[in-house]
Amino acid sequence: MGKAGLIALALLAAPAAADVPETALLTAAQPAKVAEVVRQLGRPGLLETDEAGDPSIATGFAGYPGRIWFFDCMEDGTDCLGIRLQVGIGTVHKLTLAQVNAFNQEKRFATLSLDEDGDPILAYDLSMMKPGVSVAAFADSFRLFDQQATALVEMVKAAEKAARK
Amino acid sequence: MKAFAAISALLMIAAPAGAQDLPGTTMLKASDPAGVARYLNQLGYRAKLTKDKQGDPKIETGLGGFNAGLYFYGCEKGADCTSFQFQVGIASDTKLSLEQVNNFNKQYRFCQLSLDEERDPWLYYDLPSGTAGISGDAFAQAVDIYEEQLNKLDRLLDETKAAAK
Repeated sequence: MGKAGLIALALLAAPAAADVPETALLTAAQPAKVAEVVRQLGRPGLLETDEAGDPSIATGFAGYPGRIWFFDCMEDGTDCLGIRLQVGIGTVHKLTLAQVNAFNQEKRFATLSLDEDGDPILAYDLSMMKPGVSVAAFADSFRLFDQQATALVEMVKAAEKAARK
Repeated sequence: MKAFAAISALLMIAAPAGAQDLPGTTMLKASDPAGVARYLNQLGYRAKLTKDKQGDPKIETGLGGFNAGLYFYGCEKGADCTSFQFQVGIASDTKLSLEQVNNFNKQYRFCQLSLDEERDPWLYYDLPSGTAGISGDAFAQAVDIYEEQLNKLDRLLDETKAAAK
């Protein structure tokens, strides 16, 4: 996964297309529709293909570049069953595992871990097999994840500030 | 410690005789805890609908050989909840390290593992519902995933205990 720098992300406005209704059902087999809903939420939603040939969406959380990965896809990258919302932050001062554990104890939904470089990765996995989850439920998950990403950014900044003292 | 998990075998209670099974396309809503409890019964699990300390709905069940709680969130005065979360805490003399917890969270998707103040492990899995809910099939898959991860956690505890001897 590419590391996110401490560079603020320019958030793109939603395109002037007809909104996908909140009651519509969304599956991981519809990456273009997922990207459309992400843009509808006011975030970038650029549909790409990952190294395995599966769909992925470049987006942003809490001002940092993030990604939505698609999982359990067929060999040709279609008919995926689940997604992962993910954001990683490249840090100078590394968080401790005790801080990571405290974060996970306190916050719901997403899981925080440290990668091999000691940098924090926040992820939330959502099963989206047919008939799918409602756009409203997806939007709730996206917003909750964004709130947790914001909490993570605050924790990283506080740790770096404390380390400078 | 919010609850203690029994390591005894789980007594499965079958769905009531004569009850008509709900199809997998049935949308399960966090605003209808009784419907969620009924679906758990239908999947072959016990499900006692009760309330948590905040007065919000809670379903007591058994998953992977442990006593498990299905907690409801986003409720207003104990109703109209918008999401739910599986929780299992395991009181154990075997203590995992934070490195083991971090590796578990990195390796496995969907659930979140953390240690409480007594260093007992807690495994959480959050599911969105929104007003439209999630399908019975997706809920059943989530139950399978959660049980699988509980088994992995159980094995990790066993391996850690064996290594400490």
